[in-house]
Amino acid sequence: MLIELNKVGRRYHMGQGEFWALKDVTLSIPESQLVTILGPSGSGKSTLLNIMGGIDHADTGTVRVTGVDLSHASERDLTQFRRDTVGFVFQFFNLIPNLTVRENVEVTADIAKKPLSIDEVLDAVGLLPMADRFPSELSGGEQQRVSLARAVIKNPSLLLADEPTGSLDFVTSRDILRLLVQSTRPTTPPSCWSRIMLPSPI
Amino acid sequence: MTDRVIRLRSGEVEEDRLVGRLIKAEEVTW
Repeated sequence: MLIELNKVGRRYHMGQGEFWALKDVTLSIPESQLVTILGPSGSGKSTLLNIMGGIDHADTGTVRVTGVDLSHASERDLTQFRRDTVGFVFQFFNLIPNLTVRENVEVTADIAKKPLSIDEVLDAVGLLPMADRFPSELSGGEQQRVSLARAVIKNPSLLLADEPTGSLDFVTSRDILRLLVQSTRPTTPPSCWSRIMLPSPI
Repeated sequence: MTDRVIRLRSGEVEEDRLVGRLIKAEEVTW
């Protein structure tokens, strides 16, 4: 099993009270499964993804991903886990503005154990002709494709996408989702994203 | 196309099912 969550809870303190963002979440996700996480705002989607990806920690329960127990991992171990195991795609791209498309992807490739070919990945997302451009010279959809290339380049066991189309128009969203599906099949493992197929204002 | 849908509500799993189909925008709850 790639991901195993057992009675996972996460609470946040709000003023003098506390708020449980996740309560007793138990689920297992095998390899090569494409999972969509749906739910209203505040339902815990991002918290769940962040815990699976080692960005956040659970307050109760156990979390195992690729056999690694994240529940008791140190910050150093979590950093190593994220670097070796997880590819992230965020809603707002988080690209490095003063690096070109190729350099943004190269940064991740340089620290990966078994990176894929940069040219092949850029070609797969249709950005090879734009490899020398800077993020500010790209559209939102193109920037998200860079973000996807950066996540995929290290050939991660787990690809997590948190609202990857949240800031894109419908047509561009469809293209990005198609790329996400392609990137998870047939060779790579599950992708989780929240709020799939959101028709943002065109 | 997705293999599986996990629907959350108030931090709990409300639904977890295998689907093997496209998720439509109308299904998304804000």
